[in-house]
This record gives sequence, structure tokens and C-alpha cells, in this order.
Amino acid sequence: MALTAYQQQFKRRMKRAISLRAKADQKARRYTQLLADAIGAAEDAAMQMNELNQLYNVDVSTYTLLTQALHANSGQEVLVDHLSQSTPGEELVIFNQVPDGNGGQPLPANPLFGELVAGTPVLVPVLVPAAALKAVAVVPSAEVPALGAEASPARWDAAQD
Amino acid sequence: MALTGYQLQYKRRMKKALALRAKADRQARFLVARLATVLALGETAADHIGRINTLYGTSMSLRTDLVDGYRLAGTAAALNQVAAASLGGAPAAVFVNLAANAGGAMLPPDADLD
Repeated sequence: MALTAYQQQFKRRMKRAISLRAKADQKARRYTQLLADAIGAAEDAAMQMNELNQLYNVDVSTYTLLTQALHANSGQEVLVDHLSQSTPGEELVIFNQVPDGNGGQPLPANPLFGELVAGTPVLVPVLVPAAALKAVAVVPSAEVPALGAEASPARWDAAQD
Repeated sequence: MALTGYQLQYKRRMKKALALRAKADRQARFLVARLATVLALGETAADHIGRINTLYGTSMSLRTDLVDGYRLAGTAAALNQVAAASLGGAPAAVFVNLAANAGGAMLPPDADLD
């Protein structure tokens, strides 16, 4: 069964949002690891500074203000903890759970999802009474499916391959 | 007045340790900023997915485990606060105030410091 425009729109929008989510996760994961390493390096440097302070009886600060703050908040342990508590990455998107809605018509374009909008974006409610839908429909009323006629989840997972 | 071996050794060792400290500061500063930016990106993605869930009646999770953990911990705000509260880096080392004690003789070699 072919996808309706509504389902295709959902698929396109969700794919984009999911890839944003995955990108953020990937980067957060990488920077978390690197930051934990940097805090480790700062702690190594502080050990050397401390040793020098003792050997030569001087008093130079062992950390910079930033690394001191990160160290004092036990930043490294916290960061590694975050990493270990989450498995890398993105969950699979299950597209075939999307019931067809809005009579198969796509929702209005929305700049939030990177879509071009001509004029003022207006969000139309998803559930429009069939009578109202007919009143504003540009297609002949015979082709406007009654809402709920396709309420059963469309199994179009095969169709997308 | 020429520096004694002891003072020269201190200067050499301290320079090395300060460079390490400064390098770690630079890296941490850069990464703190990047991590905060990326967490904001994760919030943008969560906002998009939330909107899609509302529009299409789905329930895709808004954030990954990692990003959600950071959100719950308030990490982005904490990172920005830490970065804002600290100045840009390493204070200059003062080499001149080291008294030439130990008779000016160098201390024994040290694998870490030298």
C-alpha cells in the first residue's frame, strides 16, 4: 500500500529530527570523553605543580580557575559516569507505527522542520470535522475521505523499501 | 647575578609544569564550550521531536540517554557557569623570588618533572 502524503511527510520530518538528535548525541559523547581526558591532564599537571611547590618551597597554584572548578566538582568522574550510563547512539525509528491521519493530507509546512513556508505559517488542527474539511477542501468532495476511514495503522513498512 | 643550578632547575621544571597546566586549561575551556553548545543542539532536536509527536500522535523519545542525563543533571548551565567564572587561562609564573637554598646545588633528577 502506498504511503499517503501525510505519512511521507511524517517520515521526512521525523527522519530529519532523529538525525539531529543522533548528531547531538554523537558530539556530546565525543566532547564528554575529550573533556574527561582534559581534566585528567589538568590533574596530572597539578600533581607536578604540587611536587614542585614542595621541592622548592614555592607556592604556585596547582590548577587554573577553570580546571580547579572542574576538578572540585569531580568533573571527570561525573562525565565518565554519564558516558557509561548510556549506550551510544540512536534508537531505531519504527516508521510503520504511524497511523494515517488528516485524511492522508500533509500538515502545513513548518520552518521548524526546515521547510519553506510561503506566507504566514498557520497550524491547522489535525482533527478537523469532516464537514469543515469539505468546506475548505480544494479537491472535489467525493475524493475527500471521511476522517477515520483510514484510522487503522497503515502497514507501509514494506512499501518504503 | 647568574642563577645557580638549583634555580635554573626550578625554572626549567616549573616552565614545563606550567605549560602542562596551561594546555589542560585551554583544552578544558574549549571542550566545555563545545559540550554546552552540543547540549543546546540536543535540546533543539528534542523540541523538534516533541513537535512531531504532538502533530502526528507518535511517541518517539525526545533525547538519547546521554543527552537526557545531562539535562537532568543541569550540566549545560553548570558548564557555562564554570566557564564564565574563570578567567582566560594561566596566570604568569613568577620566577624571580626563588631563594638559592640547598647551596645552589640541583635536586636529584625526577622522571616526571624533568
